[in-house]
Amino acid sequence: MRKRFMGRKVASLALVAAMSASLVACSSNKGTSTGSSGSGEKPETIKFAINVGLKDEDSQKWKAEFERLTGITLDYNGPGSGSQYYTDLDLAYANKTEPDVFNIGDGKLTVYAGKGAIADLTELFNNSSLKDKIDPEVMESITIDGKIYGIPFEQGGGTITYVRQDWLDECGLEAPTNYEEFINMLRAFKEKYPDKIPMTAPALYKDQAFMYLREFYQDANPDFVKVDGQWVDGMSQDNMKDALQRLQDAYTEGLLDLEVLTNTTSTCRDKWYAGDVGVFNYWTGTWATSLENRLQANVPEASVLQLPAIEETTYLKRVPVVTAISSRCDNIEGVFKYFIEYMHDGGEGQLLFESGVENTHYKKEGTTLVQLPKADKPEENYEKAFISPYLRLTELEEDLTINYDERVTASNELLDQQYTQLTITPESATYTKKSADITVLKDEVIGKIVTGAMSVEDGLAYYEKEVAALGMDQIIEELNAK
Amino acid sequence: MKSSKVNTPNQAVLSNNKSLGKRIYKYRWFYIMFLPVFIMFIIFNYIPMIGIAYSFFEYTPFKDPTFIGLENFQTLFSSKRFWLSFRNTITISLLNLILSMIFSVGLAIMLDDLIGKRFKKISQTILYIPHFLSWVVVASLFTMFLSPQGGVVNNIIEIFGGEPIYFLADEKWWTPVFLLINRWKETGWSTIIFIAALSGVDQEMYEAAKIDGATRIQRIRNITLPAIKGTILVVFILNLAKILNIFEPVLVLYNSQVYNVADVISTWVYRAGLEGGDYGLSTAAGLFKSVISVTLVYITNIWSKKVNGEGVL
Repeated sequence: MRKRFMGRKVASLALVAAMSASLVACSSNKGTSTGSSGSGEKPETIKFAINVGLKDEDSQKWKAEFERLTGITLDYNGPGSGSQYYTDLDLAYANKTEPDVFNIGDGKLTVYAGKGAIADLTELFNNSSLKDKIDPEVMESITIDGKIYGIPFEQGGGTITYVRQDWLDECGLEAPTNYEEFINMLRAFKEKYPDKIPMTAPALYKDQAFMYLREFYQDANPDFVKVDGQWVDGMSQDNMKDALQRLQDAYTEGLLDLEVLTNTTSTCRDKWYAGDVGVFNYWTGTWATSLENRLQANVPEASVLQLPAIEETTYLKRVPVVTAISSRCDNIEGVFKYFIEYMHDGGEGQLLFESGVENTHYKKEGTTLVQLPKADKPEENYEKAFISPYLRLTELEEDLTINYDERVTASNELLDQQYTQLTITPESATYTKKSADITVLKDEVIGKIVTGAMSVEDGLAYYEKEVAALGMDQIIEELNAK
Repeated sequence: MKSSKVNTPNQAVLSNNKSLGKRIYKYRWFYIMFLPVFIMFIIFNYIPMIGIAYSFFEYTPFKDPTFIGLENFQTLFSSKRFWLSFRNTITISLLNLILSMIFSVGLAIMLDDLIGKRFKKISQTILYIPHFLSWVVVASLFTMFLSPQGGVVNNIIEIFGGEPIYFLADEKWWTPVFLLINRWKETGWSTIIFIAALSGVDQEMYEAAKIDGATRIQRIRNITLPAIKGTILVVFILNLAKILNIFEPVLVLYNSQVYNVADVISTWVYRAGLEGGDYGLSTAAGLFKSVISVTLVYITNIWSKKVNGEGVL
């Protein structure tokens, strides 16, 4: 009896010990420290965060190579995931454990700069070797009120329109060159393939979905735009009425995917790969080959045309993602020089950030850089470490060429010939507070107009009334104040 | 023969008169086993409550909190979207709760009536499976089923000469479809507690009722439902406390065209508070939700005491 009682005692103590240990384990999971020191000197440690790039074991190999080449200890555990990245970044700031240097995109860059969370790099940039290397147009696109808060990571990239060439051939059509021909092409697709979708797109406004509908939006942009040097609300411009009318007509006629409101980029791609879509505006670069190869896996006779922009419009290049430095970093100058400049140095640093570790992720064969098969997926090659080589900002000093598929090169060249560079919108304290409600309102109104639930006039009148109540006048005033 | 020792009520009273220290020592092993759970509750449930204070501060990730009194609540209550989302939260959640009670109790009674043990187990397993699918998967499945372009449901509508309906982007259809998807996913799982309660109902009462000529409906109304009334009440009140927390199913199923009927407090807070980095506003909304939830539970408990003579609090 006593033995059994002792057994119970031992078991209960073990249970208590195990649970207490698990609590201690949870509470001892602290973040790493930034550890930079000395103004302008080479930092001993840099804490880095990014949301793209090599993952898992590959990211650790990359990190080891960075440390070997620079002698700097890198506090980095692989790329953050999707939208969670920015939530984690916000929380890191709230806990004062943010990285020294990190990537940050369009909307967030303005907020972080406005709140003083990231360092003003204008002077460092102007005094650096980067000033002469990076295209001034790219720098202009991320300059906020004359100040630079981050160095573009790579070019912004953009989208072009892909058309099923085999559908065009079967309909006896040439590639459209203007809006009328474009609409007639969609009509022909609808008539010839009644069970298919003439054109698809992921949403109508949110997440810059207007980029995917260039033929309809043309020169209109629902975000804030600069007209005669002044910031205005793109929704209140005359060209928006015409754009929304074109979209409504196309949707009503069944030329635009009926599910455009609930589509995501992923569902659009799936429809395209299945051979159900005739026209799809999507990213250039390696997507150009993926879109055709994966389509041909299901429809072997399919071929894809990269459509030059129609007369009425150009394609868009988005605002580049930038690499920024926390304003609380102890050694901003050192991090700028030994990390940001290093990643665009035209030499070993740039190669490391573009193509990864030599003989692991790529190898050199004479003047050719050969991207090696992925360790975990040998049927695919590594395409980049972080920076897409075809979107690089500064040229490599070494004569090294990557033999890309001709469709990749062609899509990039097409975009470079016919694009408009989007620029960042300055900070407005009121907009930061109201942006969620305004985005929802724009999304809602555009959707209701396009699906025919509201006429263009009624919809825009409703928008003007609602957005005024949200303080649009104050926002415009703040945007133009500086 | 050993005599077994049984505590009489008097002895129990006597033991309660022992000093607290002696009582704690007597049950020390229970207290030691309870300790980790207690510490966990303190660390993860009570200490974080200090965060409620942030609802009175301007608190963004980039600077130390600044006390601003009730400004976050003013922002909250002056937002048209917030009140819209509050109304939607109450409507969707109450309808969901009521349907949940009706469907799960009904299904539990039907399952309890099944005679074949094997068939009953297979049925239960099949009914429980949807609960284990993530909401993202469920949303993808139903987006396909309800697609206006080749979705199964619209194909059937078209066979009967109807026009396709864009169910998930139509304000008229979104709420009924959302409630239906919720029932498909959760009804089976919700029956577990009721099936357990039904297994405790005295079978002799059913036999007696049968002999007296009671129909199946009469047996359910006069024996089954009164027998599990207490369980239904407890489940209802516990679920009522959680109704304002609805988030994930809405987030994966709503879109810009149905915000007027689908946007709930949590999705509004997610967009306005978390994505905008305004933690003070998010906390204020969270505190408001908690106050409403506690009030709802309290009112329901009072009502329960009046109607049934018993509450659960």
